[in-house]
Order: sequence, then C-alpha cells, then structure tokens
Amino acid sequence: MLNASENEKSPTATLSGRVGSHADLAVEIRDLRKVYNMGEFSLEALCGVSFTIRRGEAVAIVGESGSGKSTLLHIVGALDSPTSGDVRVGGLNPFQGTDHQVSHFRNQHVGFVFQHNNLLPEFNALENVVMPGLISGKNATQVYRRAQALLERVGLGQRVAHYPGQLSGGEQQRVAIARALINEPVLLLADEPSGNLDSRNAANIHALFAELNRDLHTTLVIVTHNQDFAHTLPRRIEMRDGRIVADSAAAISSP
Amino acid sequence: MAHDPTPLRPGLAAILFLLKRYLFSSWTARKRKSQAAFGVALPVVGIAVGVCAFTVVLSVMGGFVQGLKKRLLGVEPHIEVVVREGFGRIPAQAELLRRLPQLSNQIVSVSPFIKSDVIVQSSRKPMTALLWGVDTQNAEEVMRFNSYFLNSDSRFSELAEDAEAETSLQDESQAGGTFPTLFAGEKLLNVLDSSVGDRLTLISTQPDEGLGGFAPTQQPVVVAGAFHTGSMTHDSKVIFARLELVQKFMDAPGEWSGIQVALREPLEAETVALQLNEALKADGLRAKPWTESNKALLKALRLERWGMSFVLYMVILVGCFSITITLVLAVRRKAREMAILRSIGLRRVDLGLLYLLKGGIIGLVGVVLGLGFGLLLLQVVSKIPLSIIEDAYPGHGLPVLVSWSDVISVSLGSLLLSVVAAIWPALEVMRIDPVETLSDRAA
Repeated sequence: MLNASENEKSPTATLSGRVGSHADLAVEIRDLRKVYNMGEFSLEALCGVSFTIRRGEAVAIVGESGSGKSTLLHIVGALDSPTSGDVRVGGLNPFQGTDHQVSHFRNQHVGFVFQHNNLLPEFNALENVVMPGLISGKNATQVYRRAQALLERVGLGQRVAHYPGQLSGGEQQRVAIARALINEPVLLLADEPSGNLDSRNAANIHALFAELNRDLHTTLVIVTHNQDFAHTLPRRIEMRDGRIVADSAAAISSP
Repeated sequence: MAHDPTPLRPGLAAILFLLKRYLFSSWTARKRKSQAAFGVALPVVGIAVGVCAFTVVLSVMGGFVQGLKKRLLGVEPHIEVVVREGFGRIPAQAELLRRLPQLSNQIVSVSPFIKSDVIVQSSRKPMTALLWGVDTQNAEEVMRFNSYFLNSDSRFSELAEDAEAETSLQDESQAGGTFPTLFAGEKLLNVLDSSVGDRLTLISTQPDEGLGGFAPTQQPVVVAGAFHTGSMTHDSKVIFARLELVQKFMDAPGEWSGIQVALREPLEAETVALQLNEALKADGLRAKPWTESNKALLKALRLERWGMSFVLYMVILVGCFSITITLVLAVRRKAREMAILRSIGLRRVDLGLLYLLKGGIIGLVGVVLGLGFGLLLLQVVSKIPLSIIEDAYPGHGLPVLVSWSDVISVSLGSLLLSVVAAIWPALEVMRIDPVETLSDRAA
C-alpha cells in the first residue's frame, strides 16, 4: 500500500506535479476504526479505513451524511482519537503522549477549517490569524508579519482590522483559511468549507483552495458534498458506511 | 519515527492576550458586550464591598479597643517583676536592676518597690491602707506620677528626706522633731480627716514576736503631699513612702516585693512579659503584665474581634460565589470559542489557567478598590465628627486603628479565595470537547 505509487509518474498524479515518495507522505492511515459507545449500543463510524496522501496532493472526501467522512477528518486533525488503527501525519503519530503533545500537534502540523463559526468574535481578522502563532510561542513580530501576508494572499489585505461580525461569510472562511496556514502545517483540513455560502462565494473559496495548492504546494484534504467542487480536485475518495468505496488515486496507480 | 519536542510554556503570550481582551475589552465595546462588562463588574464590586467593610469595621473596632485599653491601664504599672510562685518577696539585687533593661528594647526604666498592708491612724480614726515603698531616685521615671500630685511641685524624691510636722497628734507630748514623709491618696486623707503637714501613725499588721507576745510596730510619719489619680483603689488606699523606711517597718531589710517596669508601648506588655519570663525563670521570677488583672474583659474583646473578622470573611466568600457563577456562565456562553482555541492547539491546562487568572484578576481589582475606598472612608470618619457618637467622642471623629497585618491578610486571603472560586469554572472549561462543541449544527 505504501509503495504502490512510489515509482509512478503520472501527469495527473498531483496538481503540483511532484513525484510521490515515501518521505513525502503527508498522511498514512492503516486500518483505522472508530467506534462510539453510547450506552447500550455502539456505532461503528469507521470500519477499517486505509489510504495514503502525498505531500502537495489535493484530495476531496465525498459521501452521504453518516458515511464517516467528517469523523475521518477529525481524526486526521487530531480533534478526535481512533479506537484502533495506525495514523501518521507528516510521519508523526498525533495521538502519542499527553494533551500537551496532542495540542502541540494541532497547533503545528495541521490547520483545520470548519463549516462555520471558525473565528473568535472578540478579535479582529489579523488577531484571529496570529492566534495559533502566539500559542506556539513564536516571535510575535514575525507572526504578525506572516499573518498580514497571508491575509493579503487570501484577498483580505484591506480588511485585517475588521471583526468577524463585520465580515461576510465568505470573508470569514478566508480568514479561517489564512489562520489554518499561519504555522505552516503539513496539512490543511477543511470540513465543508463552502457549505454555508452562496454559489458565488463558494466558487471563490474553491478557487482559493486551488491557488493555495498550486502556489504554496499546500496539502489539502477537503470533506465536501458539493460534487462540482469535488470534481475540480485531482483526487476523490468516496466513503460509505464507514468504508472507502472508491479512490480515484487508486484507480490511477493500480497496475 | 521521531516525535518532535514540546516547548515548555508556549501558550503564555496567547493566554495573556486572551485575558486582556476578555476582561477589559468588554468595557470599551458596544451592544451585547455591555452585558459582559456588567458580568465582570458585579463580582468585582462584591469583593470590593467585602474588603471595604472588613477594613473599615475592624479599624474602627481596633480604635475603640485601644481607647478602652488606655483607660483600663490608667495608673497601673506596665509590668511587675515578682516571685514566680505564690506571693512572697524577692531579694534585693542591684544586679537585676541593671540586667532587666537589657532583656528588651521596649523597657524604658525599672524601679524596685515593696508593698504591704498597713493601718494608718490619724487623730480621729484608724484606716487600712496599702503602704508602697518606692525608690525615691527613679520611681518617677517609672511611674510618671507628677501630674497626679495635688501640689504640682511634689516629687517622689522628697520622700528621701524627713520633715517637720505642722500639727501634732492629740496624745503626743513632743512637739518638735522630724518624721519620715509620705504621699497619700486624696480620698484616704479625707476619711482620716487629715491634710498635708499633719502627723499620722503607721501601724504594722504583722505580728512582732516580742517579749510580751504580739506587739505591732508603730511608725510616726508626716504627710508631705496628696495625689488624685481618678482611680478609686489608688486614691482611697495608697500611701507612698521611701523604700528603706518600709523595709525597716516590715522588718525586711534586703527584700523587695518586686520591680516595676515601664515600657515604651504599654499595650505591648503581654509580649514583653513573655520575653522576660524566659530570662527570669532561672531567678525564680516572672513578669506580670497589667493585662493580667483585666483578663476577662480583654479576652471578650479579642473574641469579639475574631467573630467580626469571621462574619466579614463570609461577606467576602459570598462575593467569591458571584465570581464562580459569573465565570461558569461565561464558560457556557463561550464554549464554542473555547473549542476553537482547543482546535488550534491551546492546551487544556492553559484554558483552565485562563479562567483561574480571570478569577484572580477580578479578585485583585476588587481588593484594590475595596482597600482604597475603605481607607478613604476611614480618613473621613476619623476626621469628621458624627452626630451619633458626639457625646462619646466629643469634638473629633471615631477612633481608628488600622491593623496592617489584618489588612494584608484579608487582601491576600481574598485574592486566594477568588482564584479558588475560579477552580470549578476552570474545570468546566477543561471538560469542553472540541469536536462535540463545534459539530453542533445549532449555530
């Protein structure tokens, strides 16, 4: 599984055209299971999921609600923990150690964008973006400078001092994306990022993701039910009932 | 595969940033944030009220008790060094007089004395009295009696000299000669129907083994002056004479009843007495502070102060309850934001720390405001006379004595309590599950 795509050089392998290799694996999942125990009965959200994602890839995870796609994303982002199985992000086990280490992982190695309510309402756009940087204890001046640059990159250079209440839904999501990138994580994870937006704003967000993947070579894993958006991404993983039922990369790389 | 190291205290800058914004921005913001401002102000006021009440009430109480103690002290000796067990006399030791002042820097002066019950007889009638032999050289230094003498020129040193009598007793044949002098209380002289310059006879109450059996010693004396202290026991009972005369009269040549000690701060008598006791144990002596005879009242006053402190601490405790409630509500209201902070890597303990600090700052501001306002109020109350207590303290305001150790302990105590009050909210916020909170579609 790990070696399948190692020696392949396909024109559509990744958006950025990078060759995949063992050291460039952003995500490695092996036989991941998640079971929720709720009193008398238990719910199997993930029933043995396995896949890998190379650095620089842009992957869409699609499926009906209840398919386990959000659960998978939460586990990859270390917001939820697996019941069993192997998870590695950027070569690291997110769940090793205490809450300290897990929090450190969330801060440094992944950036998470939720569908809504991503931002702290009492802080303006710039302050929201720097927050993960401040948490990591990096030099404040450098963090602010980088935040300013990121906000300009997502098209909000003129709105840095605005509070979330003064920003539109689309603008809020762009601030959330900028924040997710402040600590240069291995992965940018997004759970239905355009789900609450109208079609025009949604399209803007989709275009932004494409730009970031192309220009910054950011590895993307995006859960979406928007089929159009999913098809613009070079790789799609489809899930149903806690299992992967289709993976466009597997289709490409299988001999 | 290596696991990269975790920095030690990375979140501190973030915590302080969050703290500053959450506590203070609610003051500068508008619309719904005014509720948040009110929410922070209320517990602050609660603590401030408690600390203010504590400071004012205890200081006024302290002032009152100090005034009372001064009245009780009156003309009593600050400390008497007497025999440790029983009521016997001690050997006269000049060396002890030299050693005592070195035992404490509170000691201003020392003077030996000898006391005995005596019967004093004038031409009219006999009366029981207390004969008090003093060291004419340094008695004044220790007793500060000059202001009580009716004749402002009277001094204890006069007792060193004999004097002539201006009148003689009925049954006396001799008209001339000099007699040992004494000072007597004004009321005693009234009862004896005597005045300054009159002759009196001291009659000892101790049996004197003579040839024929019991024959009490008699000593003719003359009244050199009178005094009025305002204390009944002194004015109607006490007679001062020189130490050597009383020793001879009592047939106790090398003995004292004790040594009187004057202190810089008479209200510190108990503390100094404890110090002295350590050193005096070996000599078979002890130091008796003036408070010993007023134990019951002073104990009651002390108990009252403790009771009052307790009640006022309860007020502060209630103020802390409001901190707990305010912060718990804040946790509920801000659960989503706390979940976001967790998702971007803020550690669980740092979130808890954030809330503990919130409690601490609310307490700190409350304490500062309460102390400031309390001390201001005390200034006003001590300077401006109030009609209610006009007759008790005419002309000036309430007596105030600020106990700084109490003020410091209530400040630190309130601060500690306000942090403790934040523990439950901190535990609540640490319980937040980011996934559960952020997946909630009801936003």
